[in-house]
Amino acid sequence: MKIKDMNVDRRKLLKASGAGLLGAMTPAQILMGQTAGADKKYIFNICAFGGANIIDSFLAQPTGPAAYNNIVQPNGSAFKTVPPLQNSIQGAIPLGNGYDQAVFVQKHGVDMAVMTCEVSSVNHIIAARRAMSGDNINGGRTIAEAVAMAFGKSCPLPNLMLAGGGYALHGDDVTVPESAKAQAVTDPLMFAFATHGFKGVSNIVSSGDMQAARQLRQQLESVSRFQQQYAGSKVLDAYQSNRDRIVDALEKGDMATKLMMLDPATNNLAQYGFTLSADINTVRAKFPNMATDPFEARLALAFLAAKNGLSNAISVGPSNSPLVTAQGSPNAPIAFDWSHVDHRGAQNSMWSYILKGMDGLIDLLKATDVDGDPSKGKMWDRSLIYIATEFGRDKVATGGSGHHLNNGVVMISPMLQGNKVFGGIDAATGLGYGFDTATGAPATGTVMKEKHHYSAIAQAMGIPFENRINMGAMVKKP
Amino acid sequence: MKKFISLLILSILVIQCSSNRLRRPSGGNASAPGTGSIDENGNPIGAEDAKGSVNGSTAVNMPQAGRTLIWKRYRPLETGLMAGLGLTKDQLCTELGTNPCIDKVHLTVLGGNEPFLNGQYERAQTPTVLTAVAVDRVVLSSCGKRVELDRTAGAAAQIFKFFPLTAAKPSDDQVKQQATELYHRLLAREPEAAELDAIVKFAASSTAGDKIALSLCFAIGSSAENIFL
Amino acid sequence: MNLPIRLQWWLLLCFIAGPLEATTISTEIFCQKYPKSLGCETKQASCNICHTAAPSLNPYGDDISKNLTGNIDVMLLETLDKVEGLDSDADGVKNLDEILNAGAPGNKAVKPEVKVQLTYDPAQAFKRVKSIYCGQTASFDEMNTLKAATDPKALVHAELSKCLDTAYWKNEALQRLADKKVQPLAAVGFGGNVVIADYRYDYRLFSYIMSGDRDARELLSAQYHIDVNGNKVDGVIAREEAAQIGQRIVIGGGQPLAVNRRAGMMTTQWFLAFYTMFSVLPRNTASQVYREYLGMDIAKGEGLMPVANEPKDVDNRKVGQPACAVCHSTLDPLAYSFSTYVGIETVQAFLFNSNGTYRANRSTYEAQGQIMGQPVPDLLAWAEKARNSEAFKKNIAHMMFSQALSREPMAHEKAEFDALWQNLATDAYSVNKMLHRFVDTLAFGGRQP
Repeated sequence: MKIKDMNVDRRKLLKASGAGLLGAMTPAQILMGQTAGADKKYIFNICAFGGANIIDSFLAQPTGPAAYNNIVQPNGSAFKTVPPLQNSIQGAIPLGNGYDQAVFVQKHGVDMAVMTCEVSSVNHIIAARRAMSGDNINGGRTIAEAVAMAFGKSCPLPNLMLAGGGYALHGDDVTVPESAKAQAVTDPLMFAFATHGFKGVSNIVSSGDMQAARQLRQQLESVSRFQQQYAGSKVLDAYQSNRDRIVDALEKGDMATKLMMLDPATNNLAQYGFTLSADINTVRAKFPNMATDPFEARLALAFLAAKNGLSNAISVGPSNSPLVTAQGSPNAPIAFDWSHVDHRGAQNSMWSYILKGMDGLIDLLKATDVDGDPSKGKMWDRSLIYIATEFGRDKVATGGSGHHLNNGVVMISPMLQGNKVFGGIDAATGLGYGFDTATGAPATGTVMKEKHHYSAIAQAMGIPFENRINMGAMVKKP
Repeated sequence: MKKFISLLILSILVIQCSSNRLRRPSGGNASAPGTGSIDENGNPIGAEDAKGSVNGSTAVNMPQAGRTLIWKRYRPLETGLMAGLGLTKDQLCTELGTNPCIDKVHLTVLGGNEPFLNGQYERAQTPTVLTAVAVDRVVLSSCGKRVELDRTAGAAAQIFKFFPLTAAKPSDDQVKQQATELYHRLLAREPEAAELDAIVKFAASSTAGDKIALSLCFAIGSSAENIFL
Repeated sequence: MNLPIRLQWWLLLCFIAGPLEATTISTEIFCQKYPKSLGCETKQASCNICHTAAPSLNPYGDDISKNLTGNIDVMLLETLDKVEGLDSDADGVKNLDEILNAGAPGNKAVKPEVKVQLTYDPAQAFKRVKSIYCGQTASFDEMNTLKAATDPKALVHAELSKCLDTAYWKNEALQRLADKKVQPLAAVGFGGNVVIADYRYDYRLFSYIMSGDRDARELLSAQYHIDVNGNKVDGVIAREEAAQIGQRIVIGGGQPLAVNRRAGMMTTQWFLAFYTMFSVLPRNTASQVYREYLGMDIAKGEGLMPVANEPKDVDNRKVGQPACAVCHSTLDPLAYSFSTYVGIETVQAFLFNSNGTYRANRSTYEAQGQIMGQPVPDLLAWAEKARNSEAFKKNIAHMMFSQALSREPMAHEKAEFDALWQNLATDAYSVNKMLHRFVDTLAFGGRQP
């Protein structure tokens, strides 16, 4: 196919890919934002709703307006950590899961990079959207869409969305195909049912019968007046295309079994022909509360979806509702945004909550072969976790805090230069400053923006695009 | 009172930010109200190709002059199946026998939203990738229920009454009559000759009356014409 | 702020953090030069000409930025000339052609209008009416009746009238349309664990006003409520269940706001409690009304009409910083009028059901409010300006258009769309009458021959 036949000009091509790679790529690859020879890679966007404030975790400060007096810096680590505090929801309900940030650093710090930033909005929706789109540096394509397009070609639903708000919004790039746009999941525990058109529905028809019935449907449609009237309708084409390709792939892949996480003790799975995921014990070991904790259930589904080849760009958000039990709640109401009421309590408990989940996810990815094939290496080797957040919070040590543009973000991946802080914090103000993107040298007087996060992720994963900023200091050389 | 205030604030704030959860986006192709997005041929911008290819599946939400379709969402789909197949609401699809397909499990992909518990304040603008799966499950379940009821009713069958549901080979005429009935009931029109021909051919290759009945019902009831207007 | 950024902002053509005069002048320069451009119908709509979401520039804004060689007020005309021959959004149509022919030079998704040949199909319209407004599928008998009718359009209208009186339309479809405006949450509504207010009133009021040929402007003026039986209730409404603190906490309910302080949907107890919460200055509340009832989303840079010497930062939120002032110079004056309405209280609410009530001494700046460039002494005046504005009418039309078709109007439908909102006053602001006009349009019932 000639490029001009596809109605694509050079400007579009440059947007879709890196100019330097054009010669080595086919037009289709370019349009997909794919690199030549691209293989599967995974991104997990952890949508830390409400403002995960970096100086309450890995860039905590011993002095200044938000000083802690109990900071721990694990041996050899570039990162500081804050121990679990005695948090509560207004003195009434114990708050936090007790997970220590230091544990996370000790286990995964070698792959972790923290970069400071000053984002461009303190509006939840707008800021979350920009956190995912790099403030539209890649033509409006979200990072999940970009990764889905680049490395998710073999996945039936490459872009799985288990978060909400601005994080879940499609990007502005109209060239992103439907297949790479986010597929929202409302209930991770029931999601398996959404992946099969007839399993557990009727005992009259077999798989072969259904295939025949679907073929009949296709024949009837092809000769119908309706089809002729609306020939070329994009919405109709997309619907029928999805029905033919995606549904087939989901069913043949038996996703209804591979993703089934409902407890058979309380759900009548066998009667309807369903069986539990073979990996259920593996994910339960890391996410034991997934039956009641939506965040754990989402993480479990995220892993199963990636492991089983369903998706490669998965976004997960915590629950905004506290999971109150007799022991208290592991997470704060409205997640990090509870900082409005209790800054320290919200930040400390939510960092623990998020990091414990990440710890479990990374453990699973480190233990699992890509596509079940040992020759392809472990999933973790091809994964990047981006803890996306809208903004920072006021630099305070007590009381509540408002939204603040200045913050930092956490990325964890073997594709990054790990155990490094990029940029720094002015101890007097608690405000972060930037760095030289090529060398990594701190540069006071500068700030990094959303486009830098996006560029760093894209560069680490090998996704070129026209406006990508060289973040060479942050990525491992291939 | 301190506990009371804490719980109050807590609950309120939970809700306030839950309002941001799981909003189904409307697509990333916003254009100004009152403006269009068609080329000199009346085609939508970006409609280079079809069938979900790299380009063709772009901008599905973009309207196309003269070829705009309306998604028949969950409620008219449901009531259409109920009326067409003579079923009550509680006879429609449930997952594991307890979870309603339309009002709960597959509500979102069938074009609905649940605001009160899930904070979904908007619905999808166009069918999602998984809509067809839910349609298949809902239609198959409804058709299966009707077949089951009519098999039990025997001579008093309501819908599947043109050939016995146990017969191995209904005649072509019987099949055509049954198909015509289903087209009337599910698509509100007469079948085309080509459609009946295809159905007769299909039935000739099948072996059991109930399977033919169910397949016809499924194929007609889940066809795109019953999903779009 | 360095110069390039300042220049970019001045290119917004509608709002900036810099001097107000520059904004107005820039906007007017563009619209005087290109009066027929999309976005010049109203000043507040022109941001998208140059921006994606402010302050981010779209490709057209970017080209202007690159070609601007001095102060925007002085150099804009010259710069506009320079970029006329470019195709900033790379959609194959030059900027000037887009501007003059209802395209968008910075948005490749919007190209100039072309002629589209459509015919009205009553059968299609009937099916759509049944689905959208009745929640039903048209039957075989109905379609045959339509086919045999000498005046099928009359049947379409007759069916529409029936549909608009169904429980589906009033209790389901209209209520789902209200979701985004009300934003309910079961846990804190009636019957929840912590009851701050009862949003069922919001749904009932919305549905009542939007049906039955009632005046849609009452969305922002009604001083009555609708009870569970669908009856109008005047006066203060007490809590349905007594205040309590125990396994459940109930501090809200009913409609305690004094009748003479009410302004429809924007002053229900739920709306004020949920959006204002504990805020001194209820910015969320004001911006939600602006977004949902006037169609302007400040977070997206829409409807920005900066007020001189604003924001005053009355609650010390540091909104005077340039990056914040871009929006807050419009938003804060919008919010002043809401500042005397209580959001959520605790003890007071428990004892006196005070959530969502009026308290004159809650602020000192209630009378300094402004909406759409006009000063307003209080929220009732604010609401009056709002409900009688063109923006309100457009928003009603847009709401019903997109509810039915799940899309934006296309270029060739602009005249039909404009007719919908322009006739709203003629139709005494009846949504039902608007829908009868709507189903006659080619946008609704048209198809290619």
